[in-house]
Amino acid sequence: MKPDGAKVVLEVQNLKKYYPISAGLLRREVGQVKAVDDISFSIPPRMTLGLVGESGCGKTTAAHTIMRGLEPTSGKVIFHHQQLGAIDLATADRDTLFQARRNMQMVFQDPQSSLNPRMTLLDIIGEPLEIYNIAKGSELVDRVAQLLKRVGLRPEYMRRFPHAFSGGQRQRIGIARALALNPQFIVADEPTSALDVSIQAQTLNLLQDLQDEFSLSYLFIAHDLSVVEHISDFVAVMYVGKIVERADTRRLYHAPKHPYTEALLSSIPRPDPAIQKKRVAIRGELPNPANPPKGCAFHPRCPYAEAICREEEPPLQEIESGHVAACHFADRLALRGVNEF
Amino acid sequence: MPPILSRISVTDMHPNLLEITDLRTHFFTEQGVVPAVDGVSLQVKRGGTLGVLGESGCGKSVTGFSILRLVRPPGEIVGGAIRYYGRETVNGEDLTALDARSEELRQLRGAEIAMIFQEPMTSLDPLFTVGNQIMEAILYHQDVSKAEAGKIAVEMLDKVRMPQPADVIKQYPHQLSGGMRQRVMIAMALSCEPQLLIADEPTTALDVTTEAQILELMRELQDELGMAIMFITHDLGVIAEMAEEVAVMYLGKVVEQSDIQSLFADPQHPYTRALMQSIPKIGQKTDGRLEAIRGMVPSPRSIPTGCPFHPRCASFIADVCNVRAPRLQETKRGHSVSCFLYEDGGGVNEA
Amino acid sequence: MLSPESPLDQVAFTDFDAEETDVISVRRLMWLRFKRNRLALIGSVVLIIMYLAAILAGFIGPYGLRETHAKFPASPPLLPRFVDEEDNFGFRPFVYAMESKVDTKTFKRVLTPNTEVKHYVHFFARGTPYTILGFIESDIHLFHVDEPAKVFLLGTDKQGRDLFSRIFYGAQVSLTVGLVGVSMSLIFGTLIGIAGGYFGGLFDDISQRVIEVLISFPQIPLWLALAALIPPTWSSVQRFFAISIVLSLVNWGGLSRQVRGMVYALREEDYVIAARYASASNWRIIVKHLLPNTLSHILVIATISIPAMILGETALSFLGLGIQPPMTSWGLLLNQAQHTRVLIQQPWLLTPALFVVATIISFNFLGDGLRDAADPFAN
Repeated sequence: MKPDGAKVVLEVQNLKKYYPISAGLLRREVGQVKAVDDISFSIPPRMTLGLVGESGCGKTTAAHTIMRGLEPTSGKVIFHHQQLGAIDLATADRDTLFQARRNMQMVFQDPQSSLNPRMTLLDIIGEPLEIYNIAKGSELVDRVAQLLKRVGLRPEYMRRFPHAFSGGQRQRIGIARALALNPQFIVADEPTSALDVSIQAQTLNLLQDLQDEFSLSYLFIAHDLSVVEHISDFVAVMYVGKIVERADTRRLYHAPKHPYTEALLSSIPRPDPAIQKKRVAIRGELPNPANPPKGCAFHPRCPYAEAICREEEPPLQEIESGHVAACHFADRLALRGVNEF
Repeated sequence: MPPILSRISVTDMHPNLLEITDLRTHFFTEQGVVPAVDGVSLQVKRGGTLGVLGESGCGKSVTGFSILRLVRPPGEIVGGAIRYYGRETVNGEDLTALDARSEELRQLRGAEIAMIFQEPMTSLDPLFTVGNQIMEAILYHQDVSKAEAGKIAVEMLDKVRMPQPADVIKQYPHQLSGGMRQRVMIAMALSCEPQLLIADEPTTALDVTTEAQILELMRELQDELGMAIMFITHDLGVIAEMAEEVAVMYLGKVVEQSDIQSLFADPQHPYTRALMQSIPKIGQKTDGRLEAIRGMVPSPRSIPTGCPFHPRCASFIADVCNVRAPRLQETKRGHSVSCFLYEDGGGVNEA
Repeated sequence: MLSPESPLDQVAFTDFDAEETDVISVRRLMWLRFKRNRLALIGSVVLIIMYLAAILAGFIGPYGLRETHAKFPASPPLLPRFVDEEDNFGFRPFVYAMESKVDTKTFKRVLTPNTEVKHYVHFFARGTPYTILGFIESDIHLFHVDEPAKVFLLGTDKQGRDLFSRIFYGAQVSLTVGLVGVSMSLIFGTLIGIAGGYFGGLFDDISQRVIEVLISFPQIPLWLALAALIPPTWSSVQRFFAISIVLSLVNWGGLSRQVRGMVYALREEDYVIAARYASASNWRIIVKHLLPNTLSHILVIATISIPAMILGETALSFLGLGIQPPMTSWGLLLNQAQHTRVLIQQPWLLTPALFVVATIISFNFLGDGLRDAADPFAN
């Protein structure tokens, strides 16, 4: 999925984030939680990579590690900065990180906790502009007014506090804050999952419009497969810290190569009573990431598992050009796509 | 296998298990009256599944709580009737007429009508084992010994496809995953074979693979036990999978009511239609935008005049929709809608 | 309004007008919640009256702090009356002058009223001169009777000083020692709490251990030990501040822990992370994000710890290690009531305790109300 070497905004290479498990009085390290375990992907300009997975699969940890809010255990996060060129965020020093963050921002899941309740919209959205010395005084007010208008909020309300706004409006405020520095790249962590159905569509439309207008690239993290399909150009599926499949959206949804992807697609409740579903029976629940199963982490739940799956961890390999999957039988299984259940 | 409780003969019983007529549950807050449920009429068929669909603040959960009389002050049922045609109340006792703390109602809760919630952790006591809590529910409603109750508890866990039920019974809620906890809640709810299960967003907090398992389980258990389910959710996909009849709610009112096929094949209320168009359709990726509903759900403290949906409605008729409130009218057999587009027999001819 | 060519005009403005009522500041929301708590309102009214009375001590009491009435040691309350010896009722309160003699047989002092002259109580009358807040000089008293008559609302001590007047002078010390002490704890505890909670690490570990030692130390012996270190040569004012420091040294730890806990939780909030991703400095995060969101809680904790300070001062002074004469405080006033014999013969000497109780309860009510108000978004 790498169109050509330089034509990417973000390249994540073998990124790992391990947490030590300590026990006993002396806090001796007895193991590790591999929250993010060797993930790689890249995002071309103006494109959206959807990162899907169930709770605890490590997708949010991955996002914060990419943003360098968490220190990566190893791996590279190459950000192709408009002015500075390629920067490895995983090892960047303070000054470089300061420069890089001007061009990459994040939109959060929870519209309640992502806005400081004691700050007005002007202060919230204006904060990045102040920090980067881009505007102050009446100029700042003008910029914030513009940003509010951009996200569909009335600029007259910039001196109000977040609690006066609904969930959908707060999410717009969060988006305006992320846009303030005019970034190239935005990480959106479940931006619509806390919103009502009718508000979700507005927010998705807004994100798409902004992508066109500001040439943004998105890393879009979500658990809702229909939302991810709608907004993403490429999709990566995570399971217990690892990417198990990655392809362009169409192929991933219509011709999945990993049984877990098939199981996910088969599990979605479809808003059409006419569909008589022939579900893929998927047993059990997500394993504990502190103690994942040996071999392929999915094997205890996989309907196609064989002896080798219990022993050997399958490598992530390219099945077709631009379509990778981590399954021993990826090229042999005839898995069903989203419309075949 | 003999059923735990005797089945009742279905003959000469009222076809509906539950009939809600013109229910009004209002909340008297300091900032004013919130009409959370405002004139809702619903029927749950014996052994059937009624889906209640709506976004946050539409009153769907308050409706569920009203049935069990679990609405706490400042909330109060101020009007309407909830007739329940159960084992003890064959002639359709009005639950709103009972004292919320009466023994009669306490017996109904759990034994006849049970409820499960979105977040099972809040309804399970972290200090007691799972077995303890299921047994308590059984002992409360059934005249059995402690040992028997323990046996029934294991049976129930087995029934909800809990792996190693004999071990799980000794565990505490926090030792279980979200899906397992929801299974425990279902086991507890079904331990006395209720006739009606009220499920309030039971899968919303769960992952998609777990959700599929729980939905599957609920369908199987319904076939097995013959209970009726009132399924409250905001998710169109879940409703399409679970419900036979659907009531769509908006701001405390039912705006459309129909059987599931007709609702999805021919949605009539502009809100229902907009809702269906606004969600991304999986497997049908387009590059276009979604058809969003404009605006947002108004505050329940300041409900718009006339039709509550009119400020967001694409088919808004000035001086009509903002002035008069439409009534729920049948437009074709088994399909009612509350909208001026269909009044004066607008859609009846199709039937 | 959006320009028509913008692709966003299809988004449509979200409809605010329905939400107009919800647009109130956090501060106003807090006030609304505070107002709901009746007891807190009563508590704050009582406290306002107490503090005003302490400031206006010279005006409210008819006599001065050191004014002795040699002929009236340990006198019971001499109250104004409305009914004279002939059972005539009048609306003007008056007192009879008292003849004070020592009974030669019992050696007890006997007071006999001279019923011939009625000494009316004058309101806003001139009497002993005093100063308010150290610079307003006056001699107007709320009420006053002309010599030789006396009015002792709460009796006198064994040196013949009017207890009623002295209670308000004592309030000046007792009510401010808590405020001064808490302010010092507040600064100290907040700084260490925020630094520990936000940065963590070695500093956090060390400060937490120090606090643990401090908290597990028995309080009264620690106070006593620290108070004993105050040089006896210090002036009353120096001593007053020294006592405040002693009290806050013992007290800051608990406050600091709570601040640390809050900061520890807040630093993981999405809005703090968002600020970090916008390259906000630590200083900025602390000042703009953490402090404003903890301040109301810090003030609640402070309010709740004022009573402990007041009680601490009272205890120290009661034991003779706190405030020293000629200054006085409620604890020092109570110091005279240490013996059971005194309590039985002169129960009026216990009245300062009622003021202590009323103040402590009021502060606790106020703290309760503030705690509700500090979290205006609950429910």
